[in-house]
Amino acid sequence: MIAKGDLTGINVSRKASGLKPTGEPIRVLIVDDSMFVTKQITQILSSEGFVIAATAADGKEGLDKYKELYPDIDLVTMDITMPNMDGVTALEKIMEFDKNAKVIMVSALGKQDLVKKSLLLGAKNYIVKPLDRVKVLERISSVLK
Amino acid sequence: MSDYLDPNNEELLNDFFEEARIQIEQLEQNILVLENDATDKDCIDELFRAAHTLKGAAATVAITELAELTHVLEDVLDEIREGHCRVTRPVVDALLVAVDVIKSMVDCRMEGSVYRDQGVEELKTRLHNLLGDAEPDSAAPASSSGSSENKDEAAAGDDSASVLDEDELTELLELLESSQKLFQIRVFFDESALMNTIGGIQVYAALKNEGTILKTTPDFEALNEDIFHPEVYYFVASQSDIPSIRDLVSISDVTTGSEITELTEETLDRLRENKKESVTDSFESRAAGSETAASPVDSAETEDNSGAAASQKKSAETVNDKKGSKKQSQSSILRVDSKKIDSLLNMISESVINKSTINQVSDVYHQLITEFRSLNSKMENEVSSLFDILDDYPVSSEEEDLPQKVRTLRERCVELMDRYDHFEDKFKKNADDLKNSTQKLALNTGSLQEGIMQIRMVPISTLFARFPRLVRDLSHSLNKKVDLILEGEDTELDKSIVEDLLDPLIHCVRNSLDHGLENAETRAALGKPETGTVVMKAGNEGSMIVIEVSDDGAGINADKVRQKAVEKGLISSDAPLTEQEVHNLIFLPGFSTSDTISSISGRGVGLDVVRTQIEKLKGTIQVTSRKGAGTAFIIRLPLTLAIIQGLLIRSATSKFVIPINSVIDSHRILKDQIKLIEGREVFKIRDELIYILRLSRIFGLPPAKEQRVSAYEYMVIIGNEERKLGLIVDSLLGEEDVVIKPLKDKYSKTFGIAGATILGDGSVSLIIDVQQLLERVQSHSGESDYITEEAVNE
Repeated sequence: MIAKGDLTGINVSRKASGLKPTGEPIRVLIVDDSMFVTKQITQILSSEGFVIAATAADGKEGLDKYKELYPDIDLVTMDITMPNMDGVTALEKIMEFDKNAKVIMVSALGKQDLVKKSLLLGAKNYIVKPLDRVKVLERISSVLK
Repeated sequence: MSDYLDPNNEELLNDFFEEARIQIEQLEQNILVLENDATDKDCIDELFRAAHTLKGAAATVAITELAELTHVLEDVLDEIREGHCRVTRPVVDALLVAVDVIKSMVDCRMEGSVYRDQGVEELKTRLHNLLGDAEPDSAAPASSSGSSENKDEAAAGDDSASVLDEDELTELLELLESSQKLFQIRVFFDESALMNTIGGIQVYAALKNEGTILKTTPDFEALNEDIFHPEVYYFVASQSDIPSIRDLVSISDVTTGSEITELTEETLDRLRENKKESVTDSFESRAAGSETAASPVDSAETEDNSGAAASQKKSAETVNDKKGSKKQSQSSILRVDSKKIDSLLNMISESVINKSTINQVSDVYHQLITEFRSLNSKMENEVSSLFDILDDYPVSSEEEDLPQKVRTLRERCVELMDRYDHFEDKFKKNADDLKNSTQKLALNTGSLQEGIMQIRMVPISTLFARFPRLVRDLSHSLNKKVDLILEGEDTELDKSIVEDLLDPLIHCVRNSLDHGLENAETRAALGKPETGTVVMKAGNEGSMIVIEVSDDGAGINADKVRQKAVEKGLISSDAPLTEQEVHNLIFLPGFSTSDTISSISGRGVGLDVVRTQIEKLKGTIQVTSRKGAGTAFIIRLPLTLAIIQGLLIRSATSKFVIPINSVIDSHRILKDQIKLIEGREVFKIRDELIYILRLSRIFGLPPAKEQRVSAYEYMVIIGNEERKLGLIVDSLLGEEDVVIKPLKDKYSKTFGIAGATILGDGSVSLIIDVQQLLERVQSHSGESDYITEEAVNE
């Protein structure tokens, strides 16, 4: 599959952006109730060398997995609208648990308010659905720099 | 792109449909404005914005066919905006067709299918052709980034310290902790970014970790609103340095650049210097109105500068407001499932009933108190007479000489007298409290009810908005020139009514255009302006909404109508009808005067259907017309269907509610004033004969036990100006607000009953269906039924 990003050449310079300077892969927790989005993020990130350490289908599960795997999670992608526990609450709890957590919100268009709230609560950045490969990687790398 | 979408996100889809509806409306309305004034810049901008929004939204939910079409549409609109494409009739037509296709696409998606029509490609080509030589690829991002670049340039010339005045800067510098520096960080944002209103907060959040944010311009509240700010100033106290801050605020896809300045005491000095100069430059420009002069600078200067700064700021704010107003008004609207509101309304209705119950309980308490008081005073009297008897005991003897028993008795009597006084006070106080609370409760439930009703109210503009397009298309196809005037668009009415009002209104308007207005030549010959006028007017009249559709056309030709009605066997040729009555014939089923059945009015639906629809909404429709001058349809509707004012009546042992807007009059009449004509009971009021129905007979009610022997009957006249009947009831009980509860399926077809309600005392009462009673009186078959029924009863 040739994604838009490969053609722009942006990623060429940062080939393996999913690796830490030490060469270890960056471990990601994907929290999203949509299998579709989870699959897409997995695809985008795996191709760059990230390792998907775990996935969770709602905020509660996401929080539990984060605690369980801590400190072996480097990055969390957090959907906003989810059953049981929404992404903003999950983010808040994760930040309480680990104030250095790197959480990036995944939002549908039109959820500006919640994204702003998340950013003020400590989310490092956000990505907007529908996901665009280049932008996802751009925003994730800005969080990791 | 579609692979990335979660197709199951119903909420997102619903949001999209709502968004699409708004944008389509925007498109349609503005295209029509554009048709009349091709130079209306705001309108073109609005159109472009709507197409752009729609395109983005469609892409989000992966409705590609729509995204593609709107993309082309956006290109055309951009060309128009840039002045490369003139707004001609073919252009407007093509745009309108595009809007229609967009509507169909959205409708299909709502039904779960996808719009596929070969016409779409054709349409796209048609739109493309409008573009001419212009580059088809969207110029939108380019132009928007272009404009932000312009802003950058313009801003670069500014004095970097100018956003703060001296006082503000002094204040900020005082807030600094040791080792902290004050930075002014000016950040430019990318308008083309998705959700571009987040940027201000995102940078805020990033800076928050680097130091203390002392101030932002625009302020935090403004950043938190859903408005795009092209640039924001942050004033941060931090130990960090410029490069790391720059790094922090450079967020790809969010910010486009930044200017970072360290503000120090020297900046403050420089600021003061500059001000001094500017003051000496322009002495006469001093502003009046003093501010506190916290600095050693002479106060006149401070005034001048703070005044200037304030006015500068103000103008900046107005610009922002203007930009944000549209978005803001949209974002402050909360979408709620109407079912939720209905269930709230239902609950509050129950509360209204409960309130009445409590009210009655409270009244009972007060009666009880009065009763208790009289009982108590009776008892006191008796005790006192007992006491008196005791007093009759030999008076001569001294108190101490009285026998012990008598003394005890006397003491007990005194005690008895006061025994319940304390209780009475307490009882009274509580009953008063109850009454007060009940009154408060009544007020609260009243306003709650009103508030919830208010939520259900929508301006009629949502309905009227459909008409400019309709009239335009119709007038083109009929080749008539028509101006449509909309009045009272702010008039609000219940959402449930609005939805059912569209068809009848369309029908009336079509009727006006098709049958009412003459073509241009005829009008010219008659000395009328060539362009006909149709006015749609809405307004309130008490608790009713009045909607009028009027035209300045030919009016109803009474002779023609009469002739048609005779031909169709609707009336006998010698029926003595007033002109108004003849006009009303057009509402009869199967009536159509148009010589040829046109595709516009003659869709097999006559005005009788309109009447039925309006009556279903508990409304009335009237027509008034003057030959040669025009016709007006006047529709009257209740504000809401859920709660009505009812006249409570009793017939035999049952209570019934008659909707008050159907009650014309009530009379106490002598029994022998009721006459029999052709076996039917009638009553004569002035010169008018009114058929009479007896509720007790209609519903086969047993006569009340205590057979009243009275020479009088109570008659309620119900109906409307044209059709009325007298309803004989046993007594009138008063008016009450009642909440209509629909009857369960099994009973919903019960003749004469529109629904049920629960009265204040908790009993159930049926609501009379006035329309059905009127129909029965008019229909001949109904009459015979009625007679038989009567015969059986007797």
